[in-house]
Order: sequence, then C-alpha cells, then structure tokens
Amino acid sequence: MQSATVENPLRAGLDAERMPPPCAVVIFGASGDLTRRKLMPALYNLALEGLLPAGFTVVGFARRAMAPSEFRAQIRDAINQFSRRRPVDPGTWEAFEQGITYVQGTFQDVADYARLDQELRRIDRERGTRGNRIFYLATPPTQYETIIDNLGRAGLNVPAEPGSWTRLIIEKPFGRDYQSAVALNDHLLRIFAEEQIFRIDHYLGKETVQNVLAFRFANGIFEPIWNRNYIDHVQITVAESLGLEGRGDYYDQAGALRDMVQNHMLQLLCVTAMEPPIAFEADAVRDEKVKVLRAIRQIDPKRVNEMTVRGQYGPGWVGGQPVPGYREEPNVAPNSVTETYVALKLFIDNWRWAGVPFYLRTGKRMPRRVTEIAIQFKHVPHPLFRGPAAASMEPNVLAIRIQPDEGISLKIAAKVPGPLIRLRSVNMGFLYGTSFMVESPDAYERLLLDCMLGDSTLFTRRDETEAAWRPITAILKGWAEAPPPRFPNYEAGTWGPREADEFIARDGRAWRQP
Amino acid sequence: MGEVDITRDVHGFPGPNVDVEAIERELANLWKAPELGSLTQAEVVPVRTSVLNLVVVASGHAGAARIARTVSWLSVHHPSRLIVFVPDWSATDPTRDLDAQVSTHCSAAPEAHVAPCFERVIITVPPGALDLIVSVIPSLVLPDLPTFLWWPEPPPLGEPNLVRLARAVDRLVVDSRGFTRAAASLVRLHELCRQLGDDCALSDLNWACLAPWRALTAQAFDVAEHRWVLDAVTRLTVQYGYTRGAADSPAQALLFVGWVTSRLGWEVVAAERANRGPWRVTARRPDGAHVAIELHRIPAPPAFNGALLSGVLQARDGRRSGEFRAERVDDLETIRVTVGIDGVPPVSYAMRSRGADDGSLLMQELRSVDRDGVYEEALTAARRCVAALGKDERARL
Ligand SMILES: NC(=O)c1ccc[n+]([C@@H]2O[C@H](COP(=O)([O-])OP(=O)(O)OC[C@H]3O[C@@H](n4cnc5c(N)ncnc54)[C@H](OP(=O)(O)O)[C@@H]3O)[C@@H](O)[C@H]2O)c1
Repeated sequence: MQSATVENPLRAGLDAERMPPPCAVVIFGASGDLTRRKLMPALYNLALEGLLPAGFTVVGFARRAMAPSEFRAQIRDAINQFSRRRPVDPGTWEAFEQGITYVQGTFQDVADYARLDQELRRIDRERGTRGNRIFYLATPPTQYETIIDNLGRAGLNVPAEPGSWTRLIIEKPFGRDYQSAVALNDHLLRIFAEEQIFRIDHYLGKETVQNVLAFRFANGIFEPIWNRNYIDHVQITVAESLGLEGRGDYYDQAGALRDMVQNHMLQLLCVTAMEPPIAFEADAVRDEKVKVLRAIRQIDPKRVNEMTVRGQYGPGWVGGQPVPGYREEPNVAPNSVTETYVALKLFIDNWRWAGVPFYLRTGKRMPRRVTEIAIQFKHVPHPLFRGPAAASMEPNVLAIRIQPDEGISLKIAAKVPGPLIRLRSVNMGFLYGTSFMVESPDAYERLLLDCMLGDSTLFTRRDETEAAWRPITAILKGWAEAPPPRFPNYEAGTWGPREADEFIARDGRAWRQP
Repeated sequence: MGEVDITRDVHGFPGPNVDVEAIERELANLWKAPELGSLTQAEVVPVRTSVLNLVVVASGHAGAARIARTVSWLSVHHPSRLIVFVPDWSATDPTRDLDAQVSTHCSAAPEAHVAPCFERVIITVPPGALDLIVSVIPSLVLPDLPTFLWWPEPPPLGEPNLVRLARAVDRLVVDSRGFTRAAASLVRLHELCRQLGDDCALSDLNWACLAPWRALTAQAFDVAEHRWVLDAVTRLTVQYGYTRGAADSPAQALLFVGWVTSRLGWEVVAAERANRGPWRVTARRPDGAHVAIELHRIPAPPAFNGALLSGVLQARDGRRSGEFRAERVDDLETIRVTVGIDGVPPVSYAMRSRGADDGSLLMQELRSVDRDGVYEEALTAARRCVAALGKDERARL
C-alpha cells in the first residue's frame, strides 16, 4: 500500500498520522450537484484540518465554458452553503483555491482528454503532484463507460511517472442489475486494474457505520450472543422524510430497491452479520462481507411476494406540510410503477445466522428521517414473571442508531418502583453526541482521504458489488413478472403500506417504531 | 432548538470550608428542576453527557475572567462536569456560607431528540488553599470518566501539594506561555513531569500552539526526495517574538527546538547564552556530526510575545544542500513554508494560523488522557538546552 508517512520521524504524535502524498483530483461532472453538495465541501474540510498534502490540486472537468476563477467562485459559494463548517475561512480558502482549476470539455471528445493530460502535466511540474492522480466520476452513470474509454485512449489510465499512481472513484449506482454490473466491471477492468478502482458507497464512510464494527469486535461481551442462539431477528430501517429533491429523472428509473437496498442497506446488513475479519485491512474485511452476501438465500422470483412488499407514496403530510404524491413529482411518469418503499425478508444461510430473518425496509416520505439496525433478542427461556407483572415486558432489543441521534441503546426489563412486582422495558443508552467532544467528519471526507492514501477498506470490491446485485436482481425479475402493483399504496408521512405490517405480522413479529 | 440554563446557589458551612454534600444535593436537585420541562414539552430529552470532568483552578480574578470566556466556549462541546475553583479572600469570612454555585446547561441541535447537558460547579476558596482543593476534587468528579485539571496561570511548580493535586486527576494542563521565568520554569515543569510518571499525564497549551508548526514541518518531509535533509541537518535557527517591556518568553521556541532535536535523535552537548543575546546550542546527530542551533528573539507585537516566528533547517550531504524554512509572514497570521533542495523542484505552501485561543488549544489537550510521549521527549530536550548553560547564564534567565 502507498503510504508516504512510514519513515517520516516528524509525523509521530500528529493528528494527521497518515498524510497522503501530493496528488491531483480530477472531478468529471464538476459543475454538478454532487460536486457542490459533497465533494468540494469535503475536500475543503480536509484542508481546514490540515489533512491535505502540499501541492494538492483539484481539476474540475465539465461541459460548460467557465474560467477557472468562475469555477472557484462557484465552489466557494457551494462551501458556504453546504460545508459542515461555514462560512469559508478566508485563510484556508486562500491557500486551497490556489489548487483549484477547471478544464472545459465533453466526455465524448478524446481531444479534451489530451488537454486534460497537458494540464495535469503542468500541475505535476508546478505544484509537485508527481503524477499522482484520482479521477472522480461524479457524472450520470450513462457516461461512465465513455469516460473510462477515453481515459484509456488518452493514456490516462496508467501511472504518469514511475512510482506514481492513478486511481478511479466511481459513484453509485453501479449498474442496474447483476448483468449490467458485471458488464460495467468487465469494461472497467479492461482499462483499469482492480487496485486502481474505488467504488464508493458513502454509507461505509459514516463514522457510525464503522462504529458497528468497533462495537462488535472491540467489545468482548457481544460476540458470544451475536448469533441464532440468542437473536430472534434483525430489522434494518432506512427511512427518509424527503421526497425526490429534483432527482425525479434518476429516481423513476431506479426505485428504492436499487437506490438504497442494493448498496447502503446491504452494507449495513454486512457489517451486522459478517464474521470477524482476521485484520482491519481492505481485503480481509471485504472477504468477510462477500461471504455474507454470497450466503443470502436466493429469492425465487415466483415467490417474490412472500419475501417483499413494495410501496409508492401518494399525497399526504410530512412535518406539518402537505406534499404531493410520487406520481405528481416533476420528471415522474404519471402512471409510474417505481417503488418508493420496499420491505423485504432475507435469510443468511450460514452457521451463525441459520433461520434468523433479516427484515429490511426503506422508504421515502416517511414521518421522519432515521437509519437504524435493531437486533431483537429472543424471549427469556423460562418466564419467571407472568400475568400483569410481565404485561409490558418485551424481549431485549439492541438498537444501533446510524442517524440522527447517533448511538446505541439496549432495551432491558426493569422493576417499576413499588410494593408489587411489575416490569417495564427501559432503555440503556450511549449517545455519540453526549460522549465525545468532537464533531464527526462527513463520510466523503473520510473516503476521499482513504482513496488518496490507497486504502480501499471502505470501498466495495468487484465481487462484492456483483454479489450484492444477485438477490436484488432476483427480486427485480420477480416484480417484473408479477402483476403490476396498485400504486400509490401509502400516504406520504406514514410508515409505509399496510401490506408491510401484515407482511411481518405473518411471522408473529412487528416493525419497531424507530 | 431547545436550550435551558439553570443555576442555584449552594449554602453550606460558614467560613472557608466547603460543604461537598450540600453541593452534591444541589446538583441532584438540578435534574428535578421545573425549567427542564420546557425541553420535554418540545419532545427533547435532557441527557447528561459522559465525556469528562474538567477541573479548573484559577489563581486570580484576571484568571477567572479568562476562564469564564473559555468555559462559555467549551459549553458547546459539553464536558460532563466542570468544577472551577475561584480564589477569593471573602471565602475566609467566618460568617459567609455561600460555598458554591451549581448550574446545568442543556442544548439540543435542530432535529435532535436529545439535549446534551453538562454541569458546572463554581467554588470559591481562599487563595492558595491547595489542600482544600485536593480534598474536594475526588468527591465531586463523576465516576468512570477521565478527569482533567487545567491550570491557566503559572502553577506553583515545586509545591508538594501540586503533585498531590495532579495525582488526583488523569491529566494536568498548564500553559507555559504565561511563565515568568520561562526557561527556568521549563526545567521545573520537566521535574514535575518526571515525578508524576504514569500517575498523571502532563500537557502544555504552549505545546498545543506548536501543532500547526509541527504539521507543516512534517508535511515537507512526507516527500521522499526531501527526506535526506533530516539526516543531514547542519544548522537549526529559530526566532521568537519579543515585545519591549514584556517578559522574555523563549519556552515555545525551546519546545520547538526540543521537538526537532528529540525526533531526529540528536543529543544536546553544549549551550551558551550571552546576556540577552542569541541562545546557541550544539547538538550531536546520531551519525556523530554536529548541528549548530540558534534561538534569536526579534521584536514583535504583544500578541506574538514568546511566539515562534520562524524555524529554518539547513542541510548538506556531500555536494547536495537543502533548506527548509517555516515562518510567520505578512501580518504574522500566516505560516509559510518554503523548501529548496538541490535537484528537486522547490515547494512552497502556507497555512493561516492566528494565535489560537485558549478554548481551541484546550480542546486539543482534552482529547487524550494518555501521556504524550512526543511532548515529554521535546520537554526533556528543551530542558537539556537550559541545563547545558553555564551556572551564571542560568542565573540570568
Ligand atoms: N447529487 C447527489 O446528492 C448524489 C448522491 C449520491 C450519488 N450521486 C451520484 O453522483 C453522480 C453525479 O450526480 P449529480 O447529481 O452531481 O449529477 P448532475 O448534477 O446531473 O451533474 C452532472 C455533471 O456532469 C456534466 N456532464 C454531463 N454530461 C456531460 C458531457 N457529455 N460532457 C461533459 N460534462 C458532462 C455536467 O456538466 P454541465 O452541467 O456543464 O453540462 C455536470 O457537471 C451520479 O452518478 C449520481 O447518481 C449523486
């Protein structure tokens, strides 16, 4: 692995124990939404913390004509609007903007890549970036293959100098189904090597997701009970209160299963279910995740309705405001059958999890935004307390809250004070916000820095993306063959369609109220 | 967003003694205060943070004001319990029974359903009553949390009660920027550090001030082609600010020299300082060659008295030579680094670095309870620069 820091004796004890070597990041789609909302604010926050190497440079690449100064002004506005720390600190900005430049071009024209190459060589000379570069594909997915091909044609896919590196970051969605993901991987791997490719799933960059691993593997008391002997089932919820936020074009083609489940939710499933890796290293961690994904029981497309529920929201109220239904959103077909809600039941066929259902649900326009993993334990084997004493007693639940109010709580039974034995469930909790004095960095900060350092632990590997598409593709197939659903079937501002409640109730269980 | 602040006076024993039980009682009562109801109405649950205990000992009124400023800043980062000892002669009045003031502050971020709360206890004690403070701390800190002791003004180094007090906490944070006889005090600080050993970690806000300098310096040598310079340094020159009429304050510059010396494995072999002239130190590199180190003080505005203003490393290895230079430029609020090394393109970068405020420096030092080995080694090397002076020269410091 590339790390410039090993032999630098002056690094000992510094906050930035790992400092990437000087490099340039080329953002394809630099005038787009992702760049403004996430990428540039993340890079700026890294600069603010002194985590970027000297000479660090950003090259924006997009279609519209713009002078570099105009691009810089746009970025400054974006940081003022979206950075977790704002407004822009003039001192940091002054140094940071010296490393921002812009190349106007179209993805289709190979001559534009030759100009980009020249610009990168100039930067190597003038800013000491030594041929180290990252290409970030912040573009519509339809453009990925064109850009990759042209990078290859222009010779930008191979290191520019001996000892330097070239890396590629690719955004979600990665394919539309198993076949297209394999095809995209094949295409990518004709031009780049797997070690060069960093497939982003920003959920993995979240502190709280990484904390699931710390929680499981740095505490001795949970692992012994983390299995089918003690756990009844697992619920993973990703609820959004937002609707489409102007991304109707994309969403109507994708739907909740592709947009949320295939990537983020299966990653949450992996960190919950995986075996302890032999080391916290890229391949060791990813090997274990792939094993979980491979162990997911294939869903028979003919029985898809037994294992899944889809929903689409109609008009309703969210947060005290009336909101339109999905089909009324801009750029959505008026008879669209795209799902905005999905609930599914998965089984992981391995020794640890045999017979334990994992219920996943995600939806747009839910009553509130919340992401959590809830581990529901079994009832006590012998009920000592019965009757009214135990009327409101529930099995233990360990809830890992990813957002908001990040933290972990354990529901336990306790005696209500008084002369009688009456039991009630109470929560024992740990909250991030009340336990540390520092703010968590944004996921993109962590991931961009890791990529510069060449650490791919928090990125998805080829086999991982493909393994994640398999069960999803079976569901898509089943849905395509089933009669079209009667949409809309839930009101905006509710927890999803009634069928979803019936779905889990059939197993004698209920959704948590997160 | 929900926010509440509740404050109560604690009346305890008359005279200088402190009624810890009364304070504890009042602290417990805060959690039953009706004012918290305004949060619950907004469906926000007040939750006590579990981060750390911070004990602050002020020595005078000026100190108390400075602490108040920092503490209100800290409240955003909510330590769990803050215990401030304020010296006041009125505490010795035999009829006075006002021992302390306790308060809790809760605030919830937009969208959040919990409001982290922290508690503050302000205790007035007779000046110099270290033994009283030592006896109160253990009963007032929250259990199972690390305890930090911040001493914003020069602590009574050499006083045995200071060691006892430090042993009651996990980390002692001092600020050698304010030391009057800075060089001599560094020697005593080193002695304190040695005495404390693993009982209490020591840290210094003056050291925290060097964080940007250390990061910027280290950054230059991440580049593989620059690395040889570190093994071939022949000269290290540093400058620190001096304001006419203020105390000479070379502690920060000495810590920087100590840092470079200890990181690069040099050994201080000799030192001399003519009256108010530059400080000259000779060190030996691991390969046996000598390094000439000089500390110069140069005029600077009051905000930069004692602040490091530049550090220059010069190196030669056979026919190659190289220079690393970090310096405060323009309005002194920017640190600029330039690296010029034979055969390698020159590199230059800069970082805006205002003199950091107490709050953010303190935050840095509250992040870890462990001993800071890099600091301790820098302090040891800095002490050597002082100890290697002649007796007369030391007496003049
Ligand atoms: N937005 C988000 O919050 C978000 C979140 C997660 C993942 N993503 C993913 O990130 C990627 C980018 O999304 P986005 O929302 O940022 O997209 P976007 O706002 O539509 O931006 C597209 C960018 O690509 C450029 N572009 C398009 N066609 C081009 C061409 N032929 N030649 C040159 N430039 C061209 C556009 O430049 P001009 O404007 O100059 O034409 C623009 O800079 C997508 O894969 C998306 O799924 C986005």
